[in-house]
Amino acid sequence: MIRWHLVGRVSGRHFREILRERKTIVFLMISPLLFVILFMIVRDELANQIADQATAVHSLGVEGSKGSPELIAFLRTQRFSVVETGDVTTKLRDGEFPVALLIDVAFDDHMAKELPARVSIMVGERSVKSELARAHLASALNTYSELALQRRLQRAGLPKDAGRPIVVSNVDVTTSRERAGSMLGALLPLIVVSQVLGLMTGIAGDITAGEKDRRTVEALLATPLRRREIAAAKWIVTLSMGLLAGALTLGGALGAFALSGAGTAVGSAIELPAGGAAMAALAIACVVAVMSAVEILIGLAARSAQQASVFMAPLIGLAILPLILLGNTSGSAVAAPIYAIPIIGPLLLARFGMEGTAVAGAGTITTITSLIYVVATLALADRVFRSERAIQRAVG
Amino acid sequence: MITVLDLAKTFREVVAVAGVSFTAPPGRITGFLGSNGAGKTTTMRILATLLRPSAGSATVAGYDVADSAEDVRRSIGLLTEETGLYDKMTPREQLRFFGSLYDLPAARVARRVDELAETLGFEEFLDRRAGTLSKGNRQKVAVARALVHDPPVLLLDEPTSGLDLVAASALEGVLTSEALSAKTVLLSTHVAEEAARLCAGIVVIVHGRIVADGTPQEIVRDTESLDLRTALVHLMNAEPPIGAQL
Repeated sequence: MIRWHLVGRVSGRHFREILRERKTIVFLMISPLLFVILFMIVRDELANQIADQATAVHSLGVEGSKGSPELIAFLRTQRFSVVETGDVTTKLRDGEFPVALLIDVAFDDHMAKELPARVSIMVGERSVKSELARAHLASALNTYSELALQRRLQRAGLPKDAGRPIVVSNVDVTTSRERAGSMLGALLPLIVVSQVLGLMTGIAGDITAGEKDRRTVEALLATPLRRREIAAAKWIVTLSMGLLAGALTLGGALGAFALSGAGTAVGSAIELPAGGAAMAALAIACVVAVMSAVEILIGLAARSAQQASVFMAPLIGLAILPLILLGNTSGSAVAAPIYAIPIIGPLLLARFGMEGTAVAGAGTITTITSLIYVVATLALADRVFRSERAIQRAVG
Repeated sequence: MITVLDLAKTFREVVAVAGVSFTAPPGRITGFLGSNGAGKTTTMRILATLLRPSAGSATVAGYDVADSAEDVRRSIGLLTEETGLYDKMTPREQLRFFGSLYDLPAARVARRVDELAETLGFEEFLDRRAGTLSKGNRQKVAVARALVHDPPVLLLDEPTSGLDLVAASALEGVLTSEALSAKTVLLSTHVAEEAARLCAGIVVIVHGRIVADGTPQEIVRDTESLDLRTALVHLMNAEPPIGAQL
């Protein structure tokens, strides 16, 4: 039996001490605020990216343009701001352009003689901006090449599409809102969970193994409290702080999305699927519950806070690794039993829930299995804490 | 009352306590003396139910340490070598917290905290965070923590360690007063003079074995020494380590 009123007193004492720790307050309050700002920027970037697909103008440095006015004129119609210049290699390295075009001096001559006219696409940095500009330039040159081919075929008395036996079109039936939801689904759970687990690891290590280091637990063990009551109190504290941090971070992030760009054309392009935020909140609560129990188990078994942190720190990486490895996998491709895997299941639920692609029943599977893992882990923590080895570590 | 019978404790191959037997009756202070590593702290921790005995038995306030650990813990006040205070909390908060764990009425705990602060002389620090207190003042608060729930048995490991003369004297007065009110006090100490002043009975442990058990006068007489300090030095040097006897 657990005497909950005593558990409450021990938890209350922990809360009092934790909330007097300046770094915890800073982490709890300032960090979500930074995330709010970050998410506002990310949201605008996402919106701009969606809008950019139709309107972006790329700066393009062109060397050897003198003999190819027709090509230059064409590129200007393809949303390129062309700067005719020399020594594009140096200028690319200096970051003057995201992309450059080096045109063979004999370009017009080769075109006239129907020989291959050579151009080189040059980039000087590895960035999203540069990659987008490079891809757009390659696409524009292909279009120009096709137009040149059509003209040659027409001159030869052939149909202009004779060189294009198959015409392929790419049709994306997803809406810009769905694409944005997918991008957010991949990003938001990662950031929120990393943030929450970072805080929880510090707190769990401090109130378990840290108390052994400071020898404050010995006096507590000599009171009528039962070991499981002490362990339960420490779990409740870690869980509560994790949920608080999760609520602040997730709430802040979602609030930032709701507020930034609202009422503008690009702002309305981003919207989470209905129920996505609720699904993410449920999933994060499940992650926090299981991870707090695991961290309490490790902390109670560890000899010192340092030893506890050695075992706790990799948990964050292990937890979020599947999210990274799954990359562009759709939720509909993930079987329901996967959601029963501890930590990984809830994180997938957070992602696919926000994307709106989680399979039916995923939330229920995750919630029930997470509760089972919490109970099993806390039972093991109680067993570890009642063992003499754990007590020896606590009292030296 | 504390009764210890053939109590033993081994940590893997290390024998910390090798079959000790003694009693500490209520109404007096029993000194528990020995050199470093003699087994004093291990015995105290077994009596406080923090460790389980490997063999033998012990009862504290009538409760067996192995079978009725929770009742034992309800009956004891433990002072350990380390003060183990919560640095971010004030002495008042800490003492009230520990008092609340014994389900005592809040008003009674509050009164007891004020009494102990006045007696032990840390009233002016009652509402200052423990992390800012000197070693001596921390020790006073730790002693008060052991006394706050008014337990019938006190297990005190080096209670005057770090205290100045005035504070040590005040604490000795408190301990004498506690003993006079029919409480059992087991006092672990290195200081022979302190034991001679306070203790009606003395148990000497060396290398995990009891080598003397009696009044200070009996120990001095039996070892044919001039005083308790000389007697203790004689006893501690005479007993070979357990390993040497095997």
